Amino acid sequence: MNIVEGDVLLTRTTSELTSPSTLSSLSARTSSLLSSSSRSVRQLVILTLGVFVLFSALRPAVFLSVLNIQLVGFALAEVVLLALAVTIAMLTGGIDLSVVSTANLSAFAGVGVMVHFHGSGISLIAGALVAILVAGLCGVINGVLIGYLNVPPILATLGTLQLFNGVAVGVRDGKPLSNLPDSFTRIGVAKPLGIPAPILALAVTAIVMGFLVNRSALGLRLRLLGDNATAARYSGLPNARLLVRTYVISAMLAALAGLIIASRNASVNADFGQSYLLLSIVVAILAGVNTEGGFATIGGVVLAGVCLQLVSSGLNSMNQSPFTYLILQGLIVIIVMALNVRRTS
Amino acid sequence: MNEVNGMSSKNESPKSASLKSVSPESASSKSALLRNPSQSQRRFSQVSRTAFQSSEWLVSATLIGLVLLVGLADHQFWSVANAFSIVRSALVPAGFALGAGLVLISGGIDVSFMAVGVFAGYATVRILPNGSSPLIAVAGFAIAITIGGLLGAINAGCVVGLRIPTLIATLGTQTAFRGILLLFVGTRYIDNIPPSLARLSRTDLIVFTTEQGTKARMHVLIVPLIALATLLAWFLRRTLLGRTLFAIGGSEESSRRIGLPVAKARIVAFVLAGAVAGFAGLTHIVLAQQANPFALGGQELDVLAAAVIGGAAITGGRGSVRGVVLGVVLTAVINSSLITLGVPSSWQRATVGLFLLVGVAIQASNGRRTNQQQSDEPPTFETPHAASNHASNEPANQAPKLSNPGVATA
Repeated sequence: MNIVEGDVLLTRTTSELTSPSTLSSLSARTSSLLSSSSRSVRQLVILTLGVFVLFSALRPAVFLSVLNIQLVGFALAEVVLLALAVTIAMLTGGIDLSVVSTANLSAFAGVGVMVHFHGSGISLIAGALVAILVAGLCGVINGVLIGYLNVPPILATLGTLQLFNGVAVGVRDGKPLSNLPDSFTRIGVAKPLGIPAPILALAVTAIVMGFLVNRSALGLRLRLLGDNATAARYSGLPNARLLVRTYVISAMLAALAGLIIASRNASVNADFGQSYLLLSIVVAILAGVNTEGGFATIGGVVLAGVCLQLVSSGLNSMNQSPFTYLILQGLIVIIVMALNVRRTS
Repeated sequence: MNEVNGMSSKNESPKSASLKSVSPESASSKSALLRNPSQSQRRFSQVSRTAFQSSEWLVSATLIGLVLLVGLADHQFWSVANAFSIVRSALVPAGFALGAGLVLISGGIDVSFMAVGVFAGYATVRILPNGSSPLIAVAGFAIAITIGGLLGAINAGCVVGLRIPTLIATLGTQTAFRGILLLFVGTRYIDNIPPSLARLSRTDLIVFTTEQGTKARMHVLIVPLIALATLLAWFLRRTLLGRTLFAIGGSEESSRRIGLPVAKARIVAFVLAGAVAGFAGLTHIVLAQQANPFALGGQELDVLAAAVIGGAAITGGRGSVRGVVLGVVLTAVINSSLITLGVPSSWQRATVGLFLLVGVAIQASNGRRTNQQQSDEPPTFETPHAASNHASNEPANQAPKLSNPGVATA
């Protein structure tokens, strides 16, 4: 009995190892996925253009107005940044539901510091640093729970979502933070070189993230981890440490989003942006991110964000209820996932 | 053991013979699962039985410890009135947790149960006629359960039919359900619920006035809840579909090869979960005496964590009605303790989140130890046997046993 048991164990492990996660098979799988990803990116481009044309035809006066396009641009940055945060977590096969709470909490910390040191030249920098630090702490908490304590990501981030939100509420006794310094709120609406500052920040971040995921050693390790965690462990990858790094990156992206939100709205609110959570997951899914890990395109996420923002502003221009957008988000998740499953099976 | 061998060789199909498992019992067909639990359960339940019981013991110990500690700080916590109010606050989460637990046991995660509950409850309130007869209230519950079941069937369609992972599928359906509810059924906040329901909300099973002058009330809706819990416990432990849920949670591929009705069991699980959520949603409306389509927004964690703390592993294959109920009671006691201990309301959310995280983390560490032991053994079907072992040890008594009274605060 022992020998057969041993054989079973051995066969199971071997089959887990030979399922694509040796480097060559991962790159082979990735390149085949890349060709299908360029297909899905092409499909996404077509979809985005289609949406744009549709709404331009339906309500050209409102939809194509300069104001509308500006509005799309302004909200785009925070949504895509949050979606990138979720994407990084999905890359390792997990999910991060606490991104919005992390964003709000780190914004509270950072902006609080800015308000406190208002007047001194370094207040903005100090605030930004504090926000990133607090986010890093949140990410470490998530990473430790998921990587070292083996709590499933859904439960861990569901818990930290409530914890971070609760801390933000408790620290301020539920009151929002307003009367932010002008130097800060000016950034949100600034337009260096004619492009809104949040969009510039998004572009820089997206390029950095793209480099990180596709061309850096860390990115490769994360993709390997997401593709097959057991094989990654047997290959000597430090799974737990990688997971901590994943969620720290995710939290920092969320902090950036939180700062942009605070600057744009000129206030920080612990409960703001609840609807952004599902929206960022929808964006990630529309971008073709594999929810079981191993694959994600950063460009796809940006494009999916643009597409959804166009849909939102298009519906707005048609005076549709915001609940229509809600239903559409749910439908998009279901349709895209159903199509994806059909493609990979 | 010979009996089981005999049965398995009688019923062995080519599929089960080709299984790579070692022990003959594990290759037994589905009828052996039901027909002869006692032999196999003693052999297989060693590992999972320890883990299974340990989580329930842990929860019970924490529960008793917490009640003792908080009561020492404030003796009112031990009053009957407080106990009744804790039970009342646990009614709705218990309903939701039972449904969510079903899906958890089958290895999936359903986050749409609250949206389903609100949808079913609110829609029922809108449709119910105006009479005040209790029959109308009963009809209302039937309607809510039906609507919930239909929404659960949609969930099942996405998961089984479209083969979408359960978490993402239910994230999507949750949004869609809320959106449809708000767009098509209405966004009105209803203060005057139908008279039959209003009458029901004032109906108590037990009510008396304590010496301190506070009223201790146990609402009548605890009766259908206990009946529901008993029914679900029977379903999980004594029917093939229920035990198939455990099997799917343990290993879906193995279950399929054995010949268990995987798709049917999954569909039934989601439909049942939806129906139970519908019941819980209408209960929420009755107890709160108002209907708000925006209600029950971010409380999924409380329910899911309660189920997990009570032993329903998030990876599936493990869990019990008793464990889920214990977890929900613990969450309710934690909530009530915070109020009694005077934790400022602005910090309550953080504290509850912290407690739940700690509980879930402890559960996860326990589970990991057992999973590592299990992975060295060939795939077996010990969990259904372990569940039935528990059934034989303790009678089906699913009501939260609160022998410790408390104070009616909040």
